[in-house]
Amino acid sequence: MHESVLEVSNLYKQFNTFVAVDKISFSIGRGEVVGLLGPNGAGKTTTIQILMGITTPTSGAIHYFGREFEKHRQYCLQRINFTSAFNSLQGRITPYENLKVFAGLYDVKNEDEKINLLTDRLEIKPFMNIPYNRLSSGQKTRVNLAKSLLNDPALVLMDEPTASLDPDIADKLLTFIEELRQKQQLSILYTSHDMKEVTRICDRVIFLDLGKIVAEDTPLGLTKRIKTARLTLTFDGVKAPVATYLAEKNIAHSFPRRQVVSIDIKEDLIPKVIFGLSNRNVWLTDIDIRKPNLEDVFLDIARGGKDELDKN
Amino acid sequence: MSWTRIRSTLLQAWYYQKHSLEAWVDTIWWSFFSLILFGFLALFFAQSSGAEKAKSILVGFILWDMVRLGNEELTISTLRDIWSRNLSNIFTTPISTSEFLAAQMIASIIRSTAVFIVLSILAWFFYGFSILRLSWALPLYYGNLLLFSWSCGMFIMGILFRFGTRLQAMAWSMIIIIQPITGVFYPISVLPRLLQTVAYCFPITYIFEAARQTYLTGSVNIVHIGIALFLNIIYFSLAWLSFHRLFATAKRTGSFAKLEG
Repeated sequence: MHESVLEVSNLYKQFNTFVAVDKISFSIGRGEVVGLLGPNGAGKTTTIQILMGITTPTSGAIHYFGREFEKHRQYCLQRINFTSAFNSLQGRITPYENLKVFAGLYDVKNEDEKINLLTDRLEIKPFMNIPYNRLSSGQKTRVNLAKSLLNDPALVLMDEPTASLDPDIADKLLTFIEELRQKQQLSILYTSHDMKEVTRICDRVIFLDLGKIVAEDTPLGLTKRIKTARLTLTFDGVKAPVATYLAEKNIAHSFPRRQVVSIDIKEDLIPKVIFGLSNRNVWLTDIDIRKPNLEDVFLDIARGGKDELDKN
Repeated sequence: MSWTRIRSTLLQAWYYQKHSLEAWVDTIWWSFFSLILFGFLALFFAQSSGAEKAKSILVGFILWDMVRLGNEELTISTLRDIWSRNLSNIFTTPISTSEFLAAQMIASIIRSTAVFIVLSILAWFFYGFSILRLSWALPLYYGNLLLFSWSCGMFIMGILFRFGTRLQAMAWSMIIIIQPITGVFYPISVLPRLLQTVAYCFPITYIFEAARQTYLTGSVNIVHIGIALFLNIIYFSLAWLSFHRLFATAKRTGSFAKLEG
């Protein structure tokens, strides 16, 4: 059982008649990385804004480290931090100066030592004295991340931190986050549209849609909920016997190319289909099976298939 | 209140000032060239209405610049953080609104005092005008004007938080609206009677009237200073309350989080 660093109970936010967050409850344990996913407009950003105290909820409760956020705002904000690809630091001043300001705002002891350590680790030292607004997106993201770690937070809210990074820098950043989590037992609430990234670093994923939690599980657990795999068969000859066989068996399919058929099918039925087609003298030249991944879960939810997901 | 957090906010203002040409333009450029303009205007009027009376225009100018700078320190520096998309970073640290406002007010004292000293020296050098003729009342005038500028600044900040940057022009323009009716450059008696009544609702009207009187006669109108202080306390309290109310509404409606787009 994890010691809980964040507990959200029945969080509800309504803007006029629009419900942005609809009575969601979840918790994050020490050292746990939780992904908050969902299509645009699902309520992720509003949830993060409420968790950071810049938007007030209509109802519900937030507890950090066992203390109610509303009543212990300073205590909680001192122990958490936030980074987003969509926020910047003060553009006219240098990263060093920005970090110095935030070190003071978080009352960091030995601030120069701390800034040195982080800038070394994130490889941002060479541009610490260039005005922030002259940095590339990748450099800014790393400076923002340094800002979010200045106060040795127990929990960091990361809103698409790798959104503007090239794959190499994104990979380095994820490795850094993984190390932090291991060494410092850092808890992270992570939003991203990159499902590979989420699968790599998140222990648990919460899917939001229309303000509600529609699924919550480990990345593997979520993908297992989709029972169908995508079977792609390439064959010689005409498509008629293939189409006839699949129609007889009531198996939904499509022909993306003249001699290729694509079938979404339960995994245990795959051998049966291959055997059946062979019996009809269909010569299969290539068989490709793609198991469902988190992206499929995301698409399923975004396209309104959450009911099916729940049933599974 | 944490002094460390206040000091860090001041440090940010200093770093910005150090790097930004427009911050220097805002601080020095307008003030310097306006001084030149009003100085010559005073010299022109001196030919018809007496040197000292004409130079009292410079009393109005220098003191008004303190109001302008005090107001802008609160509003423009906040806008700079909004434009940089940095405001939400600041308000997700443990800083309280009181600490944030206190830092802006201290910054405004530092900036306006520095400009005040420079302008006073230049006015003396170019036009033989001495602001020190306001004697021991000068800090009282200065304090009252700053208090009023903070009230305006807090109110405008609240409006910006609540309604967003589409109203950002208020940061510069709102305070200008009251300039013509508060007797900055001329006595209130020249205004139509209705406007005179409106003018006496503003604390700075009493200060400009009193400052001119001190400059021309050497006497200090304690009653005017007292009324100004009384009105300033009311204005400041209302501005403080309205800022907190507007900020709370902005957080409730989500407009604060949307400030940065």
